[in-house]
Parts: sequence; C-alpha cells; structure tokens
Amino acid sequence: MSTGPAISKPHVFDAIVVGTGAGGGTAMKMLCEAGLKVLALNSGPRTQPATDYRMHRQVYDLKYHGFGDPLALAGRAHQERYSVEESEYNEGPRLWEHDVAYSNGAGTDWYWKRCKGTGGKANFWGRSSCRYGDIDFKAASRDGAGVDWPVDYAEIAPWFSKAERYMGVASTVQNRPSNPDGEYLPPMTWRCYDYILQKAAEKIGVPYLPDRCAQLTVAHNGHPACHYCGNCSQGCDAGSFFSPTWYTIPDAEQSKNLSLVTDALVRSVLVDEQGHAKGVAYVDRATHREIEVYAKVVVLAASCVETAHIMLNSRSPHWPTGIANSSGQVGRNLCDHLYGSPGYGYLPQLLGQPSMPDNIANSTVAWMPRWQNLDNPHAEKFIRGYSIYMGGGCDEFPWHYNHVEGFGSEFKRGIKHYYPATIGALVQIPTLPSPNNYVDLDPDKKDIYDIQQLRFHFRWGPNELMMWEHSKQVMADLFKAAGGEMWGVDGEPNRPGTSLHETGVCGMGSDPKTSVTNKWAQAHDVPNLYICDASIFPGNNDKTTTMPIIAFAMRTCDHMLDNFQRGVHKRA
Amino acid sequence: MAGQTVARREVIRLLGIASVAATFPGFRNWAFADGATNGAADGPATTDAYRPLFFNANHYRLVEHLAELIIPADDTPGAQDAGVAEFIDFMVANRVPISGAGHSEPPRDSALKMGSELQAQWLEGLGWLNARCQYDHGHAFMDCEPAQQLALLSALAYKDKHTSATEEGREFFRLLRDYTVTGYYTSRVGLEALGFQGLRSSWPKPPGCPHTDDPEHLQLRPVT
Repeated sequence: MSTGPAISKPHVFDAIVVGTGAGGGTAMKMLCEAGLKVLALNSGPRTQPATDYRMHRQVYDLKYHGFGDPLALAGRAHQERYSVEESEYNEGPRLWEHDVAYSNGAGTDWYWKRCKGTGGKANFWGRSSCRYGDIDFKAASRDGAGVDWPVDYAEIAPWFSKAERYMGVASTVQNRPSNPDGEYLPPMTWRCYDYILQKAAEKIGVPYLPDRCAQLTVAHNGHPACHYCGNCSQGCDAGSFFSPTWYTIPDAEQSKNLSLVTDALVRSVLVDEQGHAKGVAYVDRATHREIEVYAKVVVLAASCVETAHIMLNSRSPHWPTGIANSSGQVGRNLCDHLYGSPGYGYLPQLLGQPSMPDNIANSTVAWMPRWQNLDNPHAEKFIRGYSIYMGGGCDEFPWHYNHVEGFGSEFKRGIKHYYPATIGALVQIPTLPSPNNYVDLDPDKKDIYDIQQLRFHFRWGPNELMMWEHSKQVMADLFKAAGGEMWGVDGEPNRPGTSLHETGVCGMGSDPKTSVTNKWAQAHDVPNLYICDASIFPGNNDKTTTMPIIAFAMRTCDHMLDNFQRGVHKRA
Repeated sequence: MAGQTVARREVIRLLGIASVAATFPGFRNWAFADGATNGAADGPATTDAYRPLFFNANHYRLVEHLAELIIPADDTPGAQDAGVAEFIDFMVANRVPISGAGHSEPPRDSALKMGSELQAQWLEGLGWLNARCQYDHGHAFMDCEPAQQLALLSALAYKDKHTSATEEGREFFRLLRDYTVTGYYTSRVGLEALGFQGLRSSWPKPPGCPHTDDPEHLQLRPVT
C-alpha cells in the first residue's frame, strides 16, 4: 500500500528514510518540511488509532479480560507476546512483529520487542524525557570506561530545546548539573505517596523530584491537553503526548513531499560503483517480492538493532562485512537498561484511605534521578549511576491481593484496605559497553522472507549487577525512612530488552577506525548514509532514549540539509 | 492420598472432552454489563442461563460456590454478581493462562500448552476437594455443612491453620483464589467495588494529594 506519487518506474528521491518511529518520523518531517522529496519505508502497516488503540475500553470489554487470545499468534514464526506494549487492546501480528524471527546466542535471553506499525514503539512509549548532560557525554573521561561521545552538552543543547519545544515536556527546573534543565510545561500533579516518599528520600539524602514527562499538561502546538484517561501505554486517542502518529507523520504528510510505503521490510542498502548508498531493497510483505528504490541520501532509523541488522545484511564487493563497516564496529557495544523492582510494599499512613485516581496520568510522575558518583566518579563500588521511578497507589488491578491472606469478606476488605497504600520501585540501570554484548547475523537461520536472522549476544555485567544490589539496599532504607513495609523485591532483573532502551551497535565517534558514524550520525565510510536512531549512542546512562533520539535526529537532519545546501549532496 | 485415584480418573475422562472451540458465549453478567440487557445490577445471577463450556454441571456449581465463598456479596457485590464462575469456565475452557495462577510469568512459547496444564490442575483440584470431604465427612464438598466447608478452606488459606493433610489442596486453593480475584476485579462490578477511578475516562487534571499541608501524612489514621 502506498500514498503519494506512484513508484512505477525507476525514480530517484532526494532521501529515503527507513523507519517511521521516534527517529525516522522526525527525519521525515524535517526533510519534507525543508522541501526534499522523501520516500519513507515502514516495515508494517499504517497504525490506526481508532482500531489499534485502547480508545477508552475497559478490561471487561475484552473477550479475555486482558489476558489475550491464546490463538492470536498461532503459527507465527515468533510467538512470544511483547509484554506491556502488546496487550489484548491491540494484540497480534498486525502491529507487532511476529513473522520475522531472531536468534539468541548461547547464554543470551534477549527479549526483542518490535512494533512494525507506523510510528513504531514511539506510539506506546513511557514518555520520560530527560536531557543527557556532560556527566553522560564525558563519562569515559571521568571514569575511564568506554569512550566519550563526540558531542558535548553545549553542542547538543539547542537541539534538546528544539525537541522539547516540539514535543512538549512537563517538569520543573531542578538545578541539578547531572540533569540539565530544559523548557517545560507545568509538571504533573503529585499523589499522596509522592509527598511521603519525598520526605523519606530527603532523610536518606536521595533526590525525589518530578520526572520530565512528554505529556501535555496544557495544550501545546495545536495538540490538546491530556484528558487523563490513563490509556497512554495502549495508545493515545487524542495525541496529547508525542508520538509519530499524531506529530511527525501528519507534519510530513502535510508538506506533500512524502511518499510513504507500508509493509516494506528493508533487506539491505544498495550501493553504486563508489560504494556509496544509491537506495535500498525491500521485501513487500504481501507478495514477498523484492523491490528496489533509489535516492541521493539514505537515512536508517529502523530501531537501533534493526538498523545494524540491515547494515550487516548490506554486503557488496565494497563492503564485504556490511555497509559502512570498515571499522568492524557495526553490531558491537550493544547496551541496555537493566530493569527490575528493587522493592515494593506499602505505606501504612495510607491504609484504608478512599480510592484516588493515582494512575490516570499513566506516567512517570516522579523519580529519583541519579545521585551516585556525581562528584567523585569512584565514590561507589560501581561506576556511573542509575535512577529509580516510583509508582503505586490505586491502579487498574489490585495486584497486591497476593499479600493478603485468606478468603471471604475479611479478605475482600483487606484488598480494599491496602489498595491506596501500595508502592513499588522500578530501577533503570545502564549497562557499560562490553565486547561480549553485540549482535551479528545468525549464519544458520533465515526468516520467512529469506533474510538472514539477527542474533543477540548479551549478558548483564558486574557493574550493572552491583548497581542492582545497591538499589535494593537504597529501597530498604527508603521504605524504613518512610515508615513503610516492604513486601519484596524482584528475585532477578527483568530480561534484557525489556526496557526497550537498547543503544549502541553503530556508535558515533571521531575516529573512523573505532566508530561507525561521525558526530553528525553520518557514516564515516559512506557519506550519503545517515542514522537517526539510538544505535549511534556510544554509551548509555540513567536516562531514557526517545527525546534524545529526536534531538539527535533533528541535529543530523539540520546538518544533512546544510550538506544539500552546500552541494555535498545533490538533489534528485 | 484418598481421592487421588478418583481425581486422576476424572481428569482423564474430562480431558477428552475439554478441547472446546474458542467460542464467545456472551457472558450473562459481565461481558455486556453496562448495556441494557442482563446487567449485573438487574438482580442476583442464576446458573441456568449460562451453559458451562468446560466444567460439568456439578463442578460448575462447585466453582460458583467456591468463588462466592472467596469473594462474597456483603456491602458490595460478590463473585456471583460479577459472573466469576462464567469467567473461570470460559478462561479454563479456552486455555487462557492467567498471570499469577500457577506460574509467575506470562508464557513464552505456547499459551495453549500452559492452558492445558491449568485445565488438569482445575480438575485435579476440584477432585481433591471432594475426596477430602468424602474422607473427612462422608460427603462431597457441596453436601458438607457450611462450617465444615469453611474449616476446610481455612486450613488451605491460613498459614496458622495448615495441616499436613491439606498440603495438596493448598496449591489448588491458590489457583482458585487467583482466578476468582482476577475474574472479580476485571469485571465492572468488581472495579466499582474497589473504587477504581479510571472507570471515568476524562478528567480536567489529576486531583492529586489532598493533604499537601501534611506531606508526611502523619495525621492520617488508618480507617478500620
């Protein structure tokens, strides 16, 4: 299915953008609005809020009460449901990738959650949107691990502003050098437990602050203010938080410069006689036919590891190990956020209180941003640092019933008694780049479209596991300081991939021998190949990835447009 | 264990007929609870309108009774008002695994395989319950005195009442309680009983904490 000009005969676009998520959608918008003719390829179908989103349905409106049709994925190559994001409100192979399988190397348990509908995972993201700071960009200089980013805060800050102004981010000015302040809408309202936990955090010397949340507390840029239905993770019916479906894709389409082809699974980047990009080859999912399309510039934004997958599959005499891979670094240094709950329980102060709408914003209202190793990078046993999000209160299901003994009226009253008082922590721990953590092509397996499968090699390293242990102690201290009772902690971290915050694999850097792209996310080897997703991030930190992906994509596109202006790239 | 043989035989008999098609019968109580027809608010539910897909009539009555013992109607509606037995029958029949019931994580590969194991656990569990009652009191569970029923469930539910003779039943009681709680609190009447505020889908803004003058909430006293 395609919209825009028909692509019947060889036609050269100014740019091809692969992927329409946080990064690709932003690139489409920027390039189209600047007047370039853009062909965007999306791996799956058009995301339709009216039928693909929750749209205010309640769990009892669903046939299986939210547990999903056990036959929804029958016969598919990859049958694992993608927890949280893929729910009975939109389950199944329409939006979610269940046809293209992937492999895990020995000892690896990577959970690769893929949304192939237009806009991708950025339709369903968590919305936490912090700026990275120099403590992140120059982390290697501070503690000796990994490499510095080729940009510093001063250089990227204007694009953080540009991204924030476009998206709309709610927070407060906090004056923490480790978390540079941005341009914010009014913050989210705090709940009872936020105030209690803030006081407790103060006692143990830990910050507890409003998160930076890309959710519209007031109307912004023509998008309506949030109406707090709480459906966010299953898609917003009104476009009251940034998502490609409500922001970048309509913007790009309005320019009339966009041709969008859906159900186009990109196999490889095509090269000319010089080894430069001349287009891409994709498989049309409906017909399994391979189609070639051409452009002056190719932008990959297929979602981090998929970008590396495409590059590794783009082998030619020029690029025998994959396009733009003379450094051998494509696929290397896969990073992730270790997720898990280092503590959950309840606050006795709130027992038996009336039910409150604690979770109608469905967002990370408050968090404990990194406080470790700020002044002295080696103050703790581990280097770098992590953050913790706190949640709890009256939710859609009383999961705490497991901690109430018995049955009968007393049991039922107990569930209600604890309902407003529950709290839980989610820790966000960055992994360090490691030579053991990477993706490559599985030499033995091809997917149903005859494309060589991607294979993951990943294990938590000692630094992140030390942080995990540390966070459990901190939560014990926090619960005590708050007068709370702890029910438990996760026995082990969530599986790698759970956070959706994979980074690395096409790292940017100044040295072409050790990095894949330059600081503009332009491939060192192939000057008309750009990358607009988190694969370019040379390291990971305690903050989330979506807003920085958008900021870096904006900066990359500004640079690319300069290159068009200066004649480095020719228009088609 | 007394009744083990009975339970096993029953499992084998019923597994043969358990592979029901995934049909959606339209639950009397909760599927269309807010529509004009068959709302739970219309009155107490009866068992004759719903035809169980998985359980035989005796087992279905037992499940319905057990669910109501776990979540009774009191100052708010109970399991029967919420159609919990229908929920359990439908989910077990269609082999839909329920997180927390007999396992902690959603299935990775085959939901159906896990669902099939749960079917067996249900039948074994109900069989155990009846066999236990038969042994102790000479009757199946439903024919025991209310006090005898409560005594048995208490021995399964409360740590300080556990006995070695009820060890096998405790795991089933967890399963039963998981399904009952899940069915109840994913129904409209259950969510209303809980006071879930998200049943309203538009708010001008979150009201937030009403006690900002007392951030530590030291003045609030538990409501007993």
